[in-house]
Amino acid sequence: MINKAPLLEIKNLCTEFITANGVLHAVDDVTFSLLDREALGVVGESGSGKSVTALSILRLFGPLDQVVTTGQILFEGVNLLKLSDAELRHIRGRQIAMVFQDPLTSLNPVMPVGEQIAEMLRYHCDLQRAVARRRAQELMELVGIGEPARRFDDLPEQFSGGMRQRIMIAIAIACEPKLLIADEPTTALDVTVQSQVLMLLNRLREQLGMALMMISHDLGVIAATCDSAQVMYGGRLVERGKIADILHHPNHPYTAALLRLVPRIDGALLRKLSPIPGQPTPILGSWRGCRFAPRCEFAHDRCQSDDPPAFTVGTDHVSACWLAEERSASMNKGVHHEGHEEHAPTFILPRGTRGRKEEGEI
Amino acid sequence: MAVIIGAPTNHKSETGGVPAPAVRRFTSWSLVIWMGFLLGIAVFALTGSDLAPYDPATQQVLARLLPPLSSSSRGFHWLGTDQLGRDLLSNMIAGARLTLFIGFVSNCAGMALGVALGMLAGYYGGAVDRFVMRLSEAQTAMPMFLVAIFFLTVLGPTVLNVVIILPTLIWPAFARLVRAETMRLRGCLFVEAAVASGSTDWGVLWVHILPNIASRIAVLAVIELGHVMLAEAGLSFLGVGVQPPATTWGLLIARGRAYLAVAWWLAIMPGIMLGLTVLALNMLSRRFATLSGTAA
Repeated sequence: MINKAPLLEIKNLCTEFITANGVLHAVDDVTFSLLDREALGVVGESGSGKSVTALSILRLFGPLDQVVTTGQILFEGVNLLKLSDAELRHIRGRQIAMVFQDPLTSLNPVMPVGEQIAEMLRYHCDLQRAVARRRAQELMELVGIGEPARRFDDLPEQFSGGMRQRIMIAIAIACEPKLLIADEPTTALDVTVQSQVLMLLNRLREQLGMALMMISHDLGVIAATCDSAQVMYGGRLVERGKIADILHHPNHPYTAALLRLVPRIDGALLRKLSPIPGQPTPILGSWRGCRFAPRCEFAHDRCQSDDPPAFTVGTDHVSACWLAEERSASMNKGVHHEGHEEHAPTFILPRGTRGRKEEGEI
Repeated sequence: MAVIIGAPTNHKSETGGVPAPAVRRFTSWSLVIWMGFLLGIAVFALTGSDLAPYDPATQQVLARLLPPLSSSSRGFHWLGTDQLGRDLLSNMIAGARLTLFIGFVSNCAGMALGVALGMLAGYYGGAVDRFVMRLSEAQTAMPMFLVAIFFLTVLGPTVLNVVIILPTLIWPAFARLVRAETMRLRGCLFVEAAVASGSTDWGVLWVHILPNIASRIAVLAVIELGHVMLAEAGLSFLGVGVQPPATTWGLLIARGRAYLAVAWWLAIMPGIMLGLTVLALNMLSRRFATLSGTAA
C-alpha cells in the first residue's frame, strides 16, 4: 500500500438515533481507516450498522431523524462532522460519491438519464450545458452504455436494472471523486448483471484511481472487489483484515459463522448450511459485553460482562474477541498459531487471484 | 383523430387489429368539443370586445329587454338585450376577459402559495409542517367566503383586492396535495441520491420533486380554476366583487337578477356560460388525470 496518511480515517464513531422507544446505537465506537486507492469491504447482516456508517460519513439523514454522531470522521485530515451543511455539500458528489442499493428508484423518473449525469457536471464541475452533455455521453460510454447520444434523452424506465445501476455509477464518478461508497450496489440485480457491475467498478477504480468502500452482506461481492474487509455486528466492528486473511483465517467466531453460510459449489452434495442460531442483538438501549455473545458457540463468562477490545492477531488483522487475546499475546511472543481454520469457498477468491478475462465481457 | 399514446403495439395484435376499449386515446370527440369550447372562450377573452357584434356599452332605449334571437334597428341580437338596450352577447364577450383574467391570476397565485407551502411542509416536516397544516386547517374551519366578503367590504371592491383575496380560498387544496406528494418523494432513493451527490435543498425541491408532482398539480389547478371563477361570480353577484362599468359574468348575473321575471335570459345566459366553462374545465382535468395516470 501507498505509505501516506489515510484518505479517510474514522475514529470512535458512534451514531445514535433518538427514537420514541429509546436510544438506538446504530454504530457503536467504530474506528477504521481507508488509504488512497484502497478498496475496503464492509460486511454484516441487516442492522449491523454498515449502511449507517456510510450515511454518517456524508451525513445523509432525513430532516426528521434525530441523530447524534460523535467521534471523528477525517477525510483528508478534515473532520466532516465539524463541517457546516454548505461545506459538506462541496464534499458530497465531488470528493465522496455514493451508489445506492436499488437502481430502480435511485434515478429521477421524470428526468432524462443523460440530463441527470449532466446536471451533476454542471453543478459540481461548472461545465457549460453543451460541454456537460458531451462529457455525460463519454461517461455513459465509459460505464458501458451503447449509443450514448441516442440514449441520452431516454427516461429511466426505458433502461433495465443493470443499465440503471451503470447510470448511477456514471453519475457517481462524474466528478472523479476520491472515494466511492457503494451501498449494496448489486443486491437488487440478478447474478450475471451483478458480476458485470462489479467488474465495471473494479475497472473504473483502477482507471480513475478512486478509493472504494463496498458495503455488502455478500462475501462474494467483497472478495471480487476489495483488498481488505471488515466485518460488523450489532454496530460494532468485530474483525478487520486483508481479504485473504478474512476468508482463509477468520479469527472472530462471527466471521467464521458467516463463512460457513456461504454455499459452496464444490461442497458435499448434502452438506447443510449452518445458520447462526438466535436473532441479531437488539441495538436499542445499553448493552454489556460482546454483542455476539448470545449467539456465539465459544462464549464464556467474560464475554457476557466485558466488552472485547480489538486485538491484533496478524499483520493488519484485528479481531474484537476475547478468544483472540491469547493469540494476540502469543503473536507478540512470536509464536505462530492458527485459530478457527476455515477454508474459503473456492469461488470466493481475493482480487487478483482470479483470472481477469471477465473484463472483456463488459 | 384517435392518436394512441402509451398503447402497447402488441395490444392490437391480441385483439385482432381492433384496438381494445381499454386503449387510452389522447383525444375523444367529447374532449375535442370541450377543448374547442375553452379555446373559443380564451380567444374571446384575449381579443375582448373586438369580436363582439356591437359595442357592449351602447344603450338603445327603444330596444330594451329584447328576447334572444330578435332584431332591433341596430340588427340581430343573438342573446337579446338588457334593460338599457345593450346587446347581451357583446357584454358576455366583453365580460369573458375579466372573468378569465381574475380566475387565472387568482388561481396561479393560490397555486404558487399552496405549492410553496406544501413543499416546505412536506420536505422539512417538524415545526414548519405543523405551522402550515394548522394554517390550512384554520382556513378550512373558517367560512372563507364570508371572510372574503368582509375583507372586500372593508378594503373596497376592486379587481386588485379580489385577486388578492381569492387565492386564500384555494391554497390549502394545493398545499395538502403537494405536502403529501413531497413527503412520499422525500423518502425516495433518488432524492437521497441527489442529496448524496451534493444537491442543495432548493435543488432537490426544484429539480427533483417539483417535476415529479407537476402533473398532479396541473390536474388540481384546472379544477380549482373552475372554483375560483365561481367564487368570483359569487362575490360580484353580492356586489363586493367587480364593479361596473367593468363586466364579468358574475356581474351580468347579478344585474339580470332584478329582471328574472320579465327577462330570464339576462341572468340565465351568463349563468349557462359560467356553468359550461366550469364543466369543461372539470372534463379537461379528468382527462389530464387519466393521461398522467393520477387520480385527482
